[in-house]
Amino acid sequence: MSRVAVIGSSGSCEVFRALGAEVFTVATPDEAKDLLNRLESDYAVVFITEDVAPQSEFLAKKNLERDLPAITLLPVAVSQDKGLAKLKRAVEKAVGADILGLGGE
Amino acid sequence: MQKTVNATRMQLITFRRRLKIAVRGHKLLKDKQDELVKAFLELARECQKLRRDLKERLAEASSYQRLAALSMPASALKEALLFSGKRMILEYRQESVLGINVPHFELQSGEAEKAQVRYPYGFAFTSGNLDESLERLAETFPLLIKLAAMEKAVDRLADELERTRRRVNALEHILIPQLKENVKFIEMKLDEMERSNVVRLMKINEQREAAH
Repeated sequence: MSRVAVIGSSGSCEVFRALGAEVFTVATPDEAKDLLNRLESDYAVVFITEDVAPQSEFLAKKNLERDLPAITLLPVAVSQDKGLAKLKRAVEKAVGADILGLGGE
Repeated sequence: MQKTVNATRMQLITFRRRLKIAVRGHKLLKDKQDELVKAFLELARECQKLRRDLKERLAEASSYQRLAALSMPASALKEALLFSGKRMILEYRQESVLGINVPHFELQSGEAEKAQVRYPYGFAFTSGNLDESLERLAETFPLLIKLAAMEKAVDRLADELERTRRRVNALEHILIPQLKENVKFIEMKLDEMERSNVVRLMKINEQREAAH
């Protein structure tokens, strides 16, 4: 049950396989979305690299639906700071404004 | 607003009771909201710090990987990472922050193993940079797991906070004023009835005395 999955574009996440995580390569955010829907009941933690990450609203909703898995964006070489943007959105949702000065987007 | 309130003593008592409960509920929810904001901001700040830190570390690891990709054929790199003898298992338990379930993970692959990487490939055909990259990643992984749990908690807390805020606002700006207005309306109506009764009695008394 408590396994770790990494969803990412090919070339960016194969190294995680050597650490014992299960790696799935996809090419587009939509593929990542489908894969996530299929994987969510089997893993405790799912990492998605930022370059193929679906919208952060979708991920936040997924995180609320079930106790597991915990879904997190993984920064890759050419980082777009989507992970910070997602955090920023959560702060805005909770307090009403980005009071931590997270910036992004 | 159309009033459909019965101006009876019974109704007055009911409304007063509801008002009291609403005010108490509002106070409790407000306290909860304050506490949630505190917990949430703390967590979000920590999350932000960890994420920034991790970004740097991962960038470092991937730069080693790129170096490795330069010094060995792509097929060999792919091959080296194709298979792993190790499987990562996490220990999972649920924790509660202000009544909200948040996950907590711990790596379960044993202390000795955690300290060093088990390379899933032979050293003959791979670059040393790849080893370096893997080692960096292995160091980072516990932090990544921590980040995953924290981000889940952030999402959960944000949702709960939003809901609590709505409830507080609904009580504060709609339900409580409405109940207060109803109570006032009934009180005034009852006072009015009382007064008209007194006046009527006085009038009757007057007429009786005039007749005698």
